[in-house]
This record gives sequence, structure tokens and C-alpha cells, in this order.
Amino acid sequence: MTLALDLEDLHVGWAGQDELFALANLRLEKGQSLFISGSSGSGKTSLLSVLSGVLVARKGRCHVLGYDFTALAAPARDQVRGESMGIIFQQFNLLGFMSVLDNVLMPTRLFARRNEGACRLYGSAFKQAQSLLEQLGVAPQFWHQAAHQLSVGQQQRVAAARAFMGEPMLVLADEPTSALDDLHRDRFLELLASVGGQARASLVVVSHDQRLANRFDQRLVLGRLAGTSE
Amino acid sequence: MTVWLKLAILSAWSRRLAVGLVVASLGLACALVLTVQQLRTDSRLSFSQAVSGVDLIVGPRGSATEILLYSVFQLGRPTANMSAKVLPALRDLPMVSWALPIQLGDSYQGFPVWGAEAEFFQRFQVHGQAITFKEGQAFDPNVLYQVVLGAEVARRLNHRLGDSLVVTHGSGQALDKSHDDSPFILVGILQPTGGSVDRAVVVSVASYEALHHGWGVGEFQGLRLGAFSVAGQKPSLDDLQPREYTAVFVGLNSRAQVFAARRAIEQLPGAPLTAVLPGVALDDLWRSLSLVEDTLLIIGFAVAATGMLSVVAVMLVALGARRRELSILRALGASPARIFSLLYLEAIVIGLAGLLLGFVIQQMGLYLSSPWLRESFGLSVSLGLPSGQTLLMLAALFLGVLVAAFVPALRAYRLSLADGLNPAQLY
Repeated sequence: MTLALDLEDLHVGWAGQDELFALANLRLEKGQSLFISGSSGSGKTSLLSVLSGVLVARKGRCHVLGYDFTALAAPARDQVRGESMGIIFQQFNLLGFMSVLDNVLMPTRLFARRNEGACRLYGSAFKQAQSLLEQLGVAPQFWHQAAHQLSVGQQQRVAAARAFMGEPMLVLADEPTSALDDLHRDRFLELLASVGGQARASLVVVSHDQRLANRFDQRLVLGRLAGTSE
Repeated sequence: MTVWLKLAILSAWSRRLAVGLVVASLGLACALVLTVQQLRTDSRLSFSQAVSGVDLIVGPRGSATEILLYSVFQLGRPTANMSAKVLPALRDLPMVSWALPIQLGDSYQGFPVWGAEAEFFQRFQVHGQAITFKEGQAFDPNVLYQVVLGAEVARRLNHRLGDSLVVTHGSGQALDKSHDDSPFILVGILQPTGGSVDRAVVVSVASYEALHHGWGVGEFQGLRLGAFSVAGQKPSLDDLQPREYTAVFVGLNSRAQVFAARRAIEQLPGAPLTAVLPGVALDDLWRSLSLVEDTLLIIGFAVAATGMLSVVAVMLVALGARRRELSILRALGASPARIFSLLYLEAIVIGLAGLLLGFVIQQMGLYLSSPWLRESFGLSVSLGLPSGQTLLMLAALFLGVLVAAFVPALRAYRLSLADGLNPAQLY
């Protein structure tokens, strides 16, 4: 599988609603990064839903990580997501009542493949969690605190650590910096890029903030008309 | 599996106030259902065993239920008494093995006074067990003014062997102790039986007659009478032969003859009599109470249903606040089916906690109230692990939980499907 994403003539809409948008084509190579922007309501989040397997496209070709998402049943797509993807939301990423460490370890505890990946790279899931948290600048003193006690910026970084646990092949981020102030936003994106690079995961970031676009290998603008990737 | 369990526990713990209240309400409902059930069973048992070893109870012609109530439970008042001549007539009947009279109507400090023959203590059984003495012995029928107390009376009034009791005709108010006429002497205290005899003040039939005639210490119709004297004369035991009995307990040579015996008794010459089969009369009485019983049970179940509904309601409301939690789980790869089972498991655990709490509350409640129940109603309640019908009730309640749990779990399933990664509302 060389293409992380291979989409063509994709028509996307939610059940019982009008079609949101149609995509002519989108190809993302393994290890590359993609920036998706567009005005609000253009369907950026819905596209992420399709890429993560939560929403099925109405029409068109949708190959994610080599899987044909239009052909796979829902449980299978959930499995792919759980084993091979990491997802970062704009905010409220973490289960507040669990500790930071428990949050980060969720993917490897839920999916054996993911745990294997962590062990292969680091020896144990715990070691990888440690490494990622350190890289992302979350000090050890926070690791056993309940997640809701951390600041928004810290929580975003913990969410990123969680997303990269195991050996995800694709990390999706929906407005990951929109809740952060300028200072933290840049820092976060740098971290995301560096960790992502190390993990050799493909990175897809959705944001309305065009200033971020330069860091990415590809850029896609979603509008009311069909968009193409550059 | 353990990850999900840990998740469920931590999630519930983070909402422990609401969850705790739900568990408490379910627990109370369950305790109510179980208590009603237990009391039904125990009182039926207590009731049906209140008199054992007696084949027939004979009273003046009248309602079997009434005769049963006043002769066995000392409830209500006999409207008429039987002539004492009945006793030898009964004893003469070929099927009759023994016949023991009882006189009722008076009370001592609120406890009923029984006039009985000494043989009574050997024949009368409660819950299939003979009456035994904790201290002392039965009264001597040839001596006046001896009294035997049931366990509850002795305990409540703090009496010991040798105590003097002032037992009077009628209401039994305590009297001026300076009166030097000799009162009743306590010669025996019975072991507790769980039956109405625990509340009995038992005297010989002669003593009862003496009482009735105002002999002994006391005010009688405003006249102060000295002991052993009416018009200055000491009564002899002959003078104190009873003229009336309230009822007679009869034991037969063979149980099989009970219907023949009843026929014979009811055909005896003289004032008409009714012979009651205790078992049958008790069942009839119990059946007439069944409406009350059943109503209580229905109420109990209604309350339990309310408890279930509260579980459902709280979980549904909490779901709103947990939509983000659910979408995080979706993002981590949980399928909607997985989310369903997570919520379902949670609801079941909450339900079980509530039922367990209910059982504990019920046991504690029964334990704390059992002395009062025994004292006031002669009702002995059994504690311990549920069995029989109670177990069935618990199973029914658990089934209710299983069904109720479906609602929030299903809603969570639908929500997680519809919301995807981004819930429509974040409360």
C-alpha cells in the first residue's frame, strides 16, 4: 500500500440530508501530510468522518490505508480505525475522569495490533507512552492526574500522544489548534509534524486557519463546488 | 474486557452522586418489595402454626373465625361463654383423648389473663413445639393465686420468680401496695415460643373464678374486699368451680376422626356448640386477608417499577452529558454495538447494586424490628439468605433491571451512530 488515501469522484452527505460536497480526486502518499481547509459548513468535518470510516460516502471511490471503505461493513471500519488510526479533535479529546496515562494507553489496551506495534518499537506500550508524552512536553508529574485537571493546551498534547500510540498509519486532526492561543498553536503543530515524521504516519489536518497550510505536503480547499487537491 | 470494565467503573464513579441516588432509590424500592414478601410468608407461617397439637377448638355456637381469633390469638371478645358442663360431656366422647378449657376476658397490665388447667402446659403446643419453662413450674391447681407468665410479659414487666402480682378483674390497674392482702405469686416463667402464649398471664381455673368474683386483692364495684373473703367468709375450692368456659381445646385419639368428632360435639344436648378445625379456619381467615396481602404486594411492585424508571431516567439524562465521551470512544475504534454493551453493563451493575442494597436494608430492618414484631404480634420473622418466593421476587426484580437497562443502552447506540465523531450538542 503506497497510498494512504485514494479518493475519486467522492460524493459525501449525511443520511436524510442533501449532499454536502463532491470531491474529484484526492491522493495522499504514505508518510505525507495533507491540509484541508474551507469555509465553515463546507464539510471538512464530514470528510474526516469519511476518512475515519464513521460515515460512508454516497458514491465514488474511497480507499483508505488500502481498504475499500465503501465495501467494508461498519464493524470492520471501526476495527481499521481502532488499529491503524489516531484522531485528534479540537477539544474534549480525553476521558476526563481517567488519568493522563490511562487515556494515552487506551488504543494499545483496546487493540492487540496496536499493542504489538508499541512493543515492537519501544518494548512496551508504557514505554512508548512515556516517550511520546516527553516529546510532546507533558511532564511526568501530570501523568497520574485526572485528565480534566490539565489545561487545554496540555490536553491537546496528551491527545496527540494518544493518537500516535502503537503504529498508526494515519492520524486525523480536526481543528487541533483552534482552541489554543497563537504561541501554543505553532508549538503544537511543530510537535505534531515531528512526531508524525518519526512515526512515519500520514497526517491529515483540517483547519479554517490558512496560516498553517505551509507546513504541509498537500493542500485541499473544500468549497461549495468540487475541490481538487494541489 | 477489563479495559471496558475499568472504563465503566471510572465513568460511573465520576457521576457518583447521581448514580448513588439512583442506587438508593432502587434499593428502597427493592427493600419494600422484599419486606412485604417476607412478612406475608412469615405471618402466614406464624399464623398457621399458632396452634398445633390441637385437633378441635370448641366454643358456643357462632362464627368459627371468631372462636379462632379469641381462643388462639386473644383478639376480639367472646360474645358468650359455654357452660362448664360441656367439659365432662366432651371428655366422655369416645374419640376424645383430652379436653382442656380456657377462660379469657381479663387482662393484667394490658396482657390477657388465661384461666387454664395445669395439664394445659403439657398439651398446648406452639409451632409444633411444646411449651417449656424457663424458670419455675406450672401452678398447683389446688393452690390459689399462683400465676405463670409468658416470656414477653415477664420480660416487659421485669418480673422474677416469687414476685407478687396484683391481678385484678377488668382493666388491671396497679393497686395501692400498702394493701396487705396477698396478691398472686409468680411461680413460673415460660420460654419464648413466638406464639400468643408469650403474652399470656396464666392462672388456674379456680384462681380465675376467684378473680371474677372479686376475691383476691382489689376494688370491686367500689367496695374494698379483703382477701379470701366475701361477706367475711373464705371460699373453698368447691366454691370456685368454674361455671363457664370461653373455649375448650380438644385432642383426639386419631386425627382421622376429626369430622366425626365435630359432628358429635355439635349434636351434644344442651346449648349448641361449634367445633372448629384450626387448620381449616386459619386458612379461611388467611384467604380473607389475601386481598390486603395482594394489594401490598402490588404496591411493592409499583414502587419497584418506579425505582427502575429512575435508573432509566437518570441514565438517559446523563447520556446527554456523555455524548462527547461516547464519540471519543468511537474515535478510538469502539463500534456502536460496543457502546451499547458498555452502557448496558453499567445499567446492570447499577441495578444489581440497588437490589443488593435493598436486600441489606430489608434484612437490617427485619432484624431491628423483630423484637417489636414478636412482642406485639407474636410474629417471628426469619432472616438470612433469600429462598423460595423471596428469591423469585429478587429474580423478577433483576429481570426488570435487565429490561430497563435496554433503554439507555439503545439510546446510546443510536446516538453514537448518529453523532459520529462530533455530537450535535455538547451539554
